[in-house]
Amino acid sequence: MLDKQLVYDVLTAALSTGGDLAEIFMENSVRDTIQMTNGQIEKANWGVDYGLGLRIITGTNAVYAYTNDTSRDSLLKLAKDASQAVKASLKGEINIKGVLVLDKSDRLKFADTAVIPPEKVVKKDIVERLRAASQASYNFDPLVTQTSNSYSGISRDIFVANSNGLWAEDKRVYTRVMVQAVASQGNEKQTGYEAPGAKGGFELLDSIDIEKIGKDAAEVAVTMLKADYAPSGKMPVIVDNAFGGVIFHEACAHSLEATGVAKGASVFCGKMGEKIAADCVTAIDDGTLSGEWGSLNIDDEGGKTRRNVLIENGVLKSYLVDYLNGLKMGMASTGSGRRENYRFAPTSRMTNTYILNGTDSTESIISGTPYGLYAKKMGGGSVDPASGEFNFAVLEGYLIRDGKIAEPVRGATLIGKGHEVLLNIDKVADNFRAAQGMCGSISGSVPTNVGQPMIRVKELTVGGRK
Amino acid sequence: MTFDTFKTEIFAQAKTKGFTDCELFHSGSTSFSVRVLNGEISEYKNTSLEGVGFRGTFNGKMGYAYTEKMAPELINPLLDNAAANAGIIEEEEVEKLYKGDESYPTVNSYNEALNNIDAAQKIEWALEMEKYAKSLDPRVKMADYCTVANSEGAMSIANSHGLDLAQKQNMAMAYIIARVEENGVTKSGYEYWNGRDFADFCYKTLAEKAVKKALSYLGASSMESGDLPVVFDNSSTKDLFGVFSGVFMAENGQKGFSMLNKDRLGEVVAAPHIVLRDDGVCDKSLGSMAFDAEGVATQQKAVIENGVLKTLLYNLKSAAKDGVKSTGNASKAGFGGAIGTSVNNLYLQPSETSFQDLIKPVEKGVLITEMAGLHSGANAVSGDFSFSADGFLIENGAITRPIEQITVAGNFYELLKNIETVGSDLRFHSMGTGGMGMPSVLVNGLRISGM
Repeated sequence: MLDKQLVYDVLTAALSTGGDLAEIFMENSVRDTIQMTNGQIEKANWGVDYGLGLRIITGTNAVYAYTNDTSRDSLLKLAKDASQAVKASLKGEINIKGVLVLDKSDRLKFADTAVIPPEKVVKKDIVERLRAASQASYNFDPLVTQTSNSYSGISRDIFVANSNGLWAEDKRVYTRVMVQAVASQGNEKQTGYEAPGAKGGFELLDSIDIEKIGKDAAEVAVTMLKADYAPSGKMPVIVDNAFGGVIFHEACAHSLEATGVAKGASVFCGKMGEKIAADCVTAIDDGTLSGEWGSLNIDDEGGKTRRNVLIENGVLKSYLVDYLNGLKMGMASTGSGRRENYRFAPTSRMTNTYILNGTDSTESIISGTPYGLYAKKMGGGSVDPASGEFNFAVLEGYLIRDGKIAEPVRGATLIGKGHEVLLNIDKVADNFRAAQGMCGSISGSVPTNVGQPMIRVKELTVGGRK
Repeated sequence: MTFDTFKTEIFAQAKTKGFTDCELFHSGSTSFSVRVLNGEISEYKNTSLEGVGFRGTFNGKMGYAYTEKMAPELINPLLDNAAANAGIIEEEEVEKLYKGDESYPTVNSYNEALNNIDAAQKIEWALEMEKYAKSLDPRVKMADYCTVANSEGAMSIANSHGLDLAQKQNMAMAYIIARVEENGVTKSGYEYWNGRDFADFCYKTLAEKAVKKALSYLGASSMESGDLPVVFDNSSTKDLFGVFSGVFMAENGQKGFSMLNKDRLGEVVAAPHIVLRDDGVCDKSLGSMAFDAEGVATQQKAVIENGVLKTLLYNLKSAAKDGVKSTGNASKAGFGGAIGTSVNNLYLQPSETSFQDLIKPVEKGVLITEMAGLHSGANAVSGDFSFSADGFLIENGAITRPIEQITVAGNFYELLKNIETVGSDLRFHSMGTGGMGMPSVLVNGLRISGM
């Protein structure tokens, strides 16, 4: 993406006043988005995201600068200004490090496996799929009054080089569709939502049944329209598979990120090798899974992604570590350095983060619960890693009475403290499924998978209206 | 390639390719920030960003494309993709380019003096702020995200009808999260300052506020569930209106994604004392703007007056559909976005009631100072919400203890009618262009869920 000599010169200029490592992250991303509202195409956009981010690490501190102007003059100025900042932040003696030769033989280059990348997709084909989803939602029930469907296809070329001699190029193609249905009656409106995505091209649309997805979204909207408000207070909660995995994502995995752990702002600091979850919980973060939404060939620091076992039978085995925070913690990177784009310095993030299958059956979990909430479909959530306090929303919920799924309930948010909830998981079923989401943190919004089989939490605060 | 050459070239090419009119939206920004931790600079950031958004009419429909790379080889793909995008638009209401207004309000949102403060001074403030916060109480374990920053942005709109507008603004900010620990429990207090003059910034005040807030949460526990009166402090009220500001956008009502639409104008939608305004030029906000993302002059207007819905927020397309004039509320999420609708500076008109007087009549209730899960706990269409919350118990008109691990649930449309009292402590949260400002409010009819 950049001339070898220019890369060398920029890195050299960046380290001209000291510093341990200089790194370039550059990208050229082409993005297609199409929005359909109530069955009609309303907006379509195409664009190029382009720029370069420069990071200089000195000790455990970082200088970061970015620009869209990648001309030689602009980049050398960027590097020179950044090096002045390094000088200002250095307290002790200046230690000028050289830049290793960027030899061709060391270059890592990855291609994407997308069969139909966004630039090869005919726009009319996208319109047809979105229309099929919208139509399926409307056809499901006359109570469905609105639909909102969208497509996004992104083709990202990224390039990372650093003064240690790293030179890596990666191509990442993403495709996602969002399907939303609204059901209305009188003054009531409820929504249902599905958003399958993949690290891959338009072939995703051939691997899913878009009409079924439209129908499923409509079914949730109609069911919730007829539902009463959820109860409030503490009770057992059964969280089903797929997006249910957001419970682990929020309640635990964010607090395992080195972002918080390295500076002591996580409830899981100093807990390595200790029991932090119930015996039935084994959880992983695996960036190597083929074609999965959160997967990567290399992370955004040029490190190979890995399968990291985070928790094994309840015992904490690994944090999620990026290069810089790894220096602070005395740990190696786990291939977890990620950023939304060149505008962000990387930090430790998740990829595909799952609770693995257990041995309970879904039937036995439900029949073994006299009263509680069954969260069939979950929405998003958030967490404060320093206190462990998390929240997430239930999109489709039911009460459980006498071991049976009873009436639907709506509008519940579940809250708790991560380190308490993990120990309170007492059942893990064997029906694992993953789902796609966008995860936000200080290095921006990145695609991540959540996933789990059905689990039961002995007690969780349900924030309903009754 | 400079923007001006790029513009001339693209306008000429667009005509050749069959666009009947076209527009370039250009925006650029630069920013500086320094974050410190344990007496060292943990992140020093210098940024510059620029890009252009093209839109143009092709076969009667609007086509979009944008780029952050301004190079000659991008002109063809930009125009070809914009034409292809126009080709699939099905919506009947057509988006149109604007010829401009006769006059625009005067806005002063740029302070040269802000540029006179050098990086070394900002670094020093950040370091001092951290040191001072840690010195305030032995329970302060950390001053996290201790940051001093400033930014500057400029945007312009030029189209083939002769519209040629530009505006710029700058801003400074500082923030800190004080983390305090007692009996193995960590509590955090976040405070921020933003302004247009560092002379108004006092790192000591900011550190004191954050530490005081964090300490006040120590010893928090949950509470019993119940239907209780709730006081939202000004920051939580802003969060609440931020989540649901979409209900006032005409385009949402037209498509059935809001309960408010033109048929409800003149109806009582809020308590009789409620005045909700959306002003383009607003002294209290840093986000005043002369024109919106379509180049329409902004206005001063009441959305709700004495509880009655007076207007919705319009861009050109939604206004044409309702047969009214645009209210100057067109928005664009930067150069890469499509035209939508957004608030200018939305605020609840404050009363004379002090915060103390606001909580005085509450026999038993809850003061909410923090809410989480805003993006997930709200149904923007139905108005239903359930948010994770922290705050304080109010008993007999006074704050008695901190509360954590509760949710507050209700419905935004009902909440508007159930606002018992509006406070006087209006505080604006600025967003570059535009902003939102709310005072504290006392509300009935909400459900608190705890133990």
